[in-house]
Amino acid sequence: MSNSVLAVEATGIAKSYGTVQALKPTDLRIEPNEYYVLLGPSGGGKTTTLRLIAGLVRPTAGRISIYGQDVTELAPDKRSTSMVFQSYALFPHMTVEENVAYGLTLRRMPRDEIRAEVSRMLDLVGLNGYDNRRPHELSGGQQQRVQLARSLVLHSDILLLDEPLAALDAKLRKDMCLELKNIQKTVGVTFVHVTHNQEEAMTVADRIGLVAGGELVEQGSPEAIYNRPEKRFTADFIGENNIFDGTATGAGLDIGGRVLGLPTPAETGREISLSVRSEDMRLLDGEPKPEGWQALSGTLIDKVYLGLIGSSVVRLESGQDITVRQVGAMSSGEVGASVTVAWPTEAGRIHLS
Amino acid sequence: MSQPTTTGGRRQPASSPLSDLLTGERGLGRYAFYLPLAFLIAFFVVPMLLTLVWSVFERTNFWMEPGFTFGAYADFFGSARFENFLRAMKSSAISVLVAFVLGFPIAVFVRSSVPEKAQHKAILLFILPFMISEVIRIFALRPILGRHGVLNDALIGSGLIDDPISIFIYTPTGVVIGEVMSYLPFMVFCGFLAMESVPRYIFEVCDDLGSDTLTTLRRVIVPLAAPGILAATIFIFINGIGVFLIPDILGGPGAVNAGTLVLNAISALDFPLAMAIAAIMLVILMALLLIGHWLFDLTKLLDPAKR
Ligand SMILES: Nc1ncnc2c1ncn2[C@@H]1O[C@H](COP(=O)(O)OP(=O)(O)OP(=O)(O)O)[C@@H](O)[C@H]1O
Ligand SMILES: [Mg+2]
Repeated sequence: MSNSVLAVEATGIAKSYGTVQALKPTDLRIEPNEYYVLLGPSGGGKTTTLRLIAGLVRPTAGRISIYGQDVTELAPDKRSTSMVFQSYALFPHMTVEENVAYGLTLRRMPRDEIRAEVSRMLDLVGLNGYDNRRPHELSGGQQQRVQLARSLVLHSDILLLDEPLAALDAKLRKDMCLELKNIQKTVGVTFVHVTHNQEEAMTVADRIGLVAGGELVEQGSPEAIYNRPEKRFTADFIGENNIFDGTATGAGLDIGGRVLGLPTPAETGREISLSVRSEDMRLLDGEPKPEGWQALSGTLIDKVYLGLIGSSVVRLESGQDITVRQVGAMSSGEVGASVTVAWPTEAGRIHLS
Repeated sequence: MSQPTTTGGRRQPASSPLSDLLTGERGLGRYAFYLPLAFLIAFFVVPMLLTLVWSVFERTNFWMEPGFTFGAYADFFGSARFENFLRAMKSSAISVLVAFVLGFPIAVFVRSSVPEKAQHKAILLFILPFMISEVIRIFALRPILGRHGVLNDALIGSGLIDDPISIFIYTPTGVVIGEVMSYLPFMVFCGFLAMESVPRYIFEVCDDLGSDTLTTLRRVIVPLAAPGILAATIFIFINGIGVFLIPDILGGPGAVNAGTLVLNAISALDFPLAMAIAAIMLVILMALLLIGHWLFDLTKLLDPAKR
C-alpha cells in the first residue's frame, strides 16, 4: 500500500490569512478510493484544508500532489477535484438538469451524451424525474443530491465535500450519510468530507483526520480513533471520556493526592493524561471493588435516564465531574448520595500529549 | 414599593382624544397603508393622465383649450424633431451599453472580491457622486473634456497623442461621455443590488466546474442580475433622452434630446406639443417597464426571497 500512488499527498501545506494561521504546516496522505473525513471543532482549519486541495486557496507553504501530479500551482478546474459546497450552491436560475449538465457543457460534450450522463447521475443520487425542477422547488436534502450529481458527473478523481449535510435535520442527515457512503463505494472515487459532526464522521469514514487549532491532531479509522485515541485532545473530542491529568509514577498516575493505576507503566515524573470512556465506568452500589479495578469516591450530582442507557454525573472530592454511562440498569443511589465510581484498569488509555 | 395594580396587572396605554384619533381602533392610523397609494395617484397617475389629455387639446395663442386633435403629434412626427428624438434615443442606447460594459463588472467585482463587510461601503463610494447636483457634476466635465482640458493635457503629456482631440466635448460623443459619467453609479448600484442575493460562492462553484470568466458572466451572473441590469438600463435610457442638461452643456450646437424639445415647445408656448412629446416618452417608459417585467419580474430586485 505504501509504495502505491496516493490520491492526495500534501507535504507541509500551510495557510495564513494575514496574522491568522488557519493551517499550520501539515502533512496529509489520502489513499485512492478512501472515504476520508476531516473532523474537528469550528475554526479548526478543516475548510481551509479542503479548499487547499481544491485549489480555491493557494497554500502559503508546502506542496500538494494528486495521484502523483504536483498540482500546487494549478487552478481549481485544472485539478481532478470537484467540490460540493455546504448549501445554496446550485444555480438558482437553472433546472436540475441544467445544473448537473453545466460542467459537461463547458467541456463541449455532445448534447445527447450529456443528457444520458446527467440522467445516469440523477438516477445514482435518487433524483430520477426531477430534471425540470428549479432549486427552490427542492428540499435541502434534494438540493445537496443535485450538487453531488453535478460534481460526480465530471468524473473527477477526488470529490471534496464541505459540510454537505450541515443544513439538514438529524434524521435526514443520517439517511444521507449512509447514502453518501453507498454512492462513494459505487463510483469508487476518493471522497474527502469535512464535518464537525462526530456521528456523521463515524458513519461515513474509512479514516478520520481530526483537525483542530490549525493542526492535523490525529488520524485513524473511526474504530481506532474512538477506542484507542492517542492524543488527549482526541479523547476529549470523540465520544464521552473522563480524563485525569497528573504525573506518572511508573505504574501509577498521581492526580494530586490520589494515585490511579495505569494500564501500562509510564515514565516517572512525566505529565500525562489518562482517559476512560464513560461507558467503561461503573457505579459501585455498595459492592466491593473488583480485582484489577480503579475506584474513586464522590457525590452523585445528576442522573438522567436516556432509554437504552442511563447517565450519571459524579463529583469527585477533587471537584472534577465524572460521567458514567451504563446500559440498562440505573444506579439505585439518590442525587446527593455518596457513591464510588470504578473502572477496569486496562480500560484506561494513556495520552502523552 | 408595590403598587396596587388594576385588571391583572396589565397597564393600559394612556389614551387621549388625539391619540385615539390617530392610533385608536377607529382612528386615522388605519388609513396609513393607503398613503403611498394616494401619493402614487396624486403625483403619478393624475399628471400622466393630464399629460395625455392635454396633448390632444387645441393650441391657442398663449395656452390651450379643450378639444381633440392629433395636431401636436403630427407636428412632432412630421418635423425634424422626430429625427432629433431618434438620434437622442440612439445616443442614449449607446450610453446604456457603455455604462453596462464599464459599470457591471465593477458591481461583480465588488460582490466577488471585496470582503463582505466592506461591500456596502465600497458601493456607497460609487453612489456618492449622486449627492452632488447634476448641473455641477456635468459642468465640471467641461474643464476636463475641453481641447485644453485635463484629459487632453494628460494624453499629450503621456505622449499618446500630439494634438488635442476635440471630439470629447460639444459633440455627440461628449453627450455620451456626460451620460455615462452621470449615470454609471446607477449601473453599479443596481448591478450590485441584483448581485447581493447571488451567493458569493457561486463564483467558486464556477471556478471549480471550470467555467471561465466570460462564460460565468454570460450563463450565470448576467441572468441572475438581469432585473438589476434592466432597471439601470431603463433609468439611464430615459434620463438620456429626457435630461436636457447634458446635451445643453456638453453637446455641440444643435445637440438636442426629448428634454430640449419639450423645453423649446414650452418656450414657443406650444403646450400641446410639449405634452405630446412627454406622452411619447411616457409610453416608451411604460413599454420598457412592461417588457422588463414580463421578461424578468422586476420586483425580484427588491425581494431576494423571490430568486
Ligand atoms: N478568508 C479568510 N480570511 C481570514 N481568516 C480566515 C479566512 N478563512 C478562514 N480564516 C480563519 O482560519 C481559521 C480556520 O478556518 P476554517 O474555515 O478552515 O475552519 P473550519 O474548521 O472549517 O471551521 P468551521 O467548522 O467553522 O467551518 C479560522 O480561525 C478562520 O477565522
Ligand atoms: Mg468550515
